[in-house]
Amino acid sequence: MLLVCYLCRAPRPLLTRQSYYLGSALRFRLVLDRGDGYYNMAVDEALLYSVATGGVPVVRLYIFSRPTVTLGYFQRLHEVVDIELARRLGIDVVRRPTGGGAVYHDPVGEVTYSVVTPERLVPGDLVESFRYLSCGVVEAARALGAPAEFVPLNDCVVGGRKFSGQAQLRRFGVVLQHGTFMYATNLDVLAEVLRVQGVKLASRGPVRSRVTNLSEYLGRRVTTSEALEALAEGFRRCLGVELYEGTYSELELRLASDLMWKYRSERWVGLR
Amino acid sequence: MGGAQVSYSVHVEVKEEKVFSVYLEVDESCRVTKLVISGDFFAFPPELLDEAESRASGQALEGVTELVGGYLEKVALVGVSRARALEVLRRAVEEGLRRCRGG
Repeated sequence: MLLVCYLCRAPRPLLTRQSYYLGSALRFRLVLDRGDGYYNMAVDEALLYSVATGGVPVVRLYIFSRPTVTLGYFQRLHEVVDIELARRLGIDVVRRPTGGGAVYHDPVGEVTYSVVTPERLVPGDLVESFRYLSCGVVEAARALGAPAEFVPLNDCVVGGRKFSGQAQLRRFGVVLQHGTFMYATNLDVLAEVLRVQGVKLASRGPVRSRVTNLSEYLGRRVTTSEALEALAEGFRRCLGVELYEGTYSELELRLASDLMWKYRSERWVGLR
Repeated sequence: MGGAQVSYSVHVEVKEEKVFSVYLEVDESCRVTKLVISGDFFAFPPELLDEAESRASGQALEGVTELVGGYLEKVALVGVSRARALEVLRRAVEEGLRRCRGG
């Protein structure tokens, strides 16, 4: 089946001296990973610094090894998470380096992606860059049979319900965008543990009525392997890059290890 | 040791595409003891708003709109317009001043 990305723009002109070009092809690493929320956020941030200093751009697909809520950089912890319930259910709470809203990551129902790429390779307009970098999610869902679409500002929906949200950070000329891909997330837990701020509740209604996962939409169980394969293929096609199975450099791992203290610290989690 | 006594707090929020809110704590001498800008919006670079919060602390309430507003002018906001963000800030400070003056 030929998958065509209708949403994506062509990448911007490329600089040939970068190490991630092989001939005329743009090469990104594909890294599959699994870890707790502190590790996952630390690795994403480490990759941003790595790409800023010449590292090969990355598409990272990862699974949270423990149920985790990640909250946006500007969110106030007590306003968006039922902390007591999270504690009772053994759900970790981690603050992301990126803005946006709180997300529930289900170890057996959600894959998170991150794309770390030089800013010049994505549309300059911020909203368009959300669209561009999330097109792998749309492609993957369509490949699995769900007619997904991107809805500005940063959501991907199917049947009018959100199954994926994206968040972004830009530093040193590099974009880190990460987002969810809910293929079988326990939506009842999600709705219980995430609090909706008053003004949002008034305008958009309860969480459970606004979200779905691909298994629920398709009426069949989507597996983790299916989700991972669809995402890898979706990003390869959408970004127009050669994706090769890669790893982290020693420097990236050391940097991530150094950054983990921040993500684990109560001061960071309770920053706001 | 201890900081100034918090006299009251003010919280104003709006929702455009995203939620944007300003939370203020003020002491009895009408100085800001804490200012938090929060929500599910995006700001580039985010550190500018951290700096705005940090610099607002200890300032007289009268000058906070100009001080923090200056940072809101510099940062790229996504999910909330600059005008609405400034309006929230202004409303929070005005409410703070009203209560400060015993209104």
